[in-house]
Amino acid sequence: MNQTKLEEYIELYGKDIYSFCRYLTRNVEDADDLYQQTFLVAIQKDDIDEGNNPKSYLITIASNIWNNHKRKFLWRQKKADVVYLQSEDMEAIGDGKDAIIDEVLKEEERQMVQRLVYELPEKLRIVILMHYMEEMSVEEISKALSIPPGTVKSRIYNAKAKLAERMEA
Amino acid sequence: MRDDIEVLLQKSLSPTLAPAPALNEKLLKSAAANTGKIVEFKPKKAVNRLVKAAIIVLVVFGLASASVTAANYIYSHFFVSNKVGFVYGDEEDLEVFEQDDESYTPTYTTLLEDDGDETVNWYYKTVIQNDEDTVRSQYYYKNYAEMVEDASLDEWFPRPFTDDNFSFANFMVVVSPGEVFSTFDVLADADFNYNEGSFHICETYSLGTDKDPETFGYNVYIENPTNIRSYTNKNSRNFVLADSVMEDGSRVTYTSLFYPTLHYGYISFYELSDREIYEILDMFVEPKPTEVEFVFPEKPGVLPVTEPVKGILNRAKENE
Repeated sequence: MNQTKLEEYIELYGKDIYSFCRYLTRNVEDADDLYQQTFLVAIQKDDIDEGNNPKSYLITIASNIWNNHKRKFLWRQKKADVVYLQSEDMEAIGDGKDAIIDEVLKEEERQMVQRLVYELPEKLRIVILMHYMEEMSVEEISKALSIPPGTVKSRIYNAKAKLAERMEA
Repeated sequence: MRDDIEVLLQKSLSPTLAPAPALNEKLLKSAAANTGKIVEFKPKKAVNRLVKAAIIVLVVFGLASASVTAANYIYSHFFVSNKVGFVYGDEEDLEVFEQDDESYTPTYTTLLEDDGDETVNWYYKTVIQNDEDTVRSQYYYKNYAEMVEDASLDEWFPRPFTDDNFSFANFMVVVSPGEVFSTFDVLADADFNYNEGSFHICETYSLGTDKDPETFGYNVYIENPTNIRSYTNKNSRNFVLADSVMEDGSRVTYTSLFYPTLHYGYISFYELSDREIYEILDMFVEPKPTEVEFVFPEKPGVLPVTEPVKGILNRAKENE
């Protein structure tokens, strides 16, 4: 991948990849690292098939890097697995409101959904982000995460059930 | 509500978070520096760290269906870092250890507490789970030998010495479910009294499926290690010792052991003189080289582990 191509991919998919990284890692520093590493690995592999959903390919790379990172540092007895939203996170998430023009959807509702997704367990969060944020199909998610399509479907279902439950609470 | 959720998700999760311009510039510069060739992207090496005072960082990798022989317990790549203590690994590992000093607050749910009976060696157990579905089962014992037997660990000190000086022993099994495979760690702690002081043993091993133990880095963290020295015991085992001075001015002495099989640990000595420490180290039982086959999770039945470890492993597999 040459420099021009890289710039083109950043222009085309930068927001997609960065948003995914941010929601996935729930941390600006990790999101920045993951975002950079995703593109660097893509450059290293240099096998993006432009006719076959490059965004999905980049998201798969990001997901794999993150999973490897998580495995390495998965179990710390002192680690808090609940990450609380910092004001800067919500502010950053809120920045997107102008980009979504939907008069039906109320702003508070949208922010609540974003917050609830942000707080989902990672295995549910990742499928929701891939499916709804990155518009990946069940098959693409299945391939990206190396899990059966049925598992992807059940995780999406479970995630939605959890979200519905929390919204009703 | 489910239908509403579908719509809400579609509307709410637009990818609107843009990377900072400086981040893209950094990325482009990094790529430009490697124009015309493959970027040498090198993910951080996998590392393990044991932190003193029974605060343990376990990392969860293993080796798929491969046999390794436990031998050469002291490595040539072993050194003591002023910043992080005992390290087996290289400069890259050290860099990771030095950066990896975050502090955390645990969030757990207790799933089960149980008292043992005459059919088991342990007298109390707890099972807890964190938000990532990682389950930790912890077993408490009234003697060291039964604990290490159940945990499939080496008995570093013999009976009756351990019975006479026994204070506390427990081990835990940590099963961490992953997208592709679960990982499995065993961690044991034991405390003993000795004269007017005491000593503590911590030993751990990991079973998983995707890492070569020979490329693994380990760290037993010590604050401000000083007075680094070695002692060769009566069985010709060489121990590297380092002191750490606590806030109250008391001295703690540490030594560590690294096996080539994702298996390592340390001994810490409290309020004991060097002479007393050497007396204890002279009692150290040389571990026998053993063939360990890492096959989790495909064939849990052939793992060289005993109950309750095997039982936990099988239950974890059933739940996958």
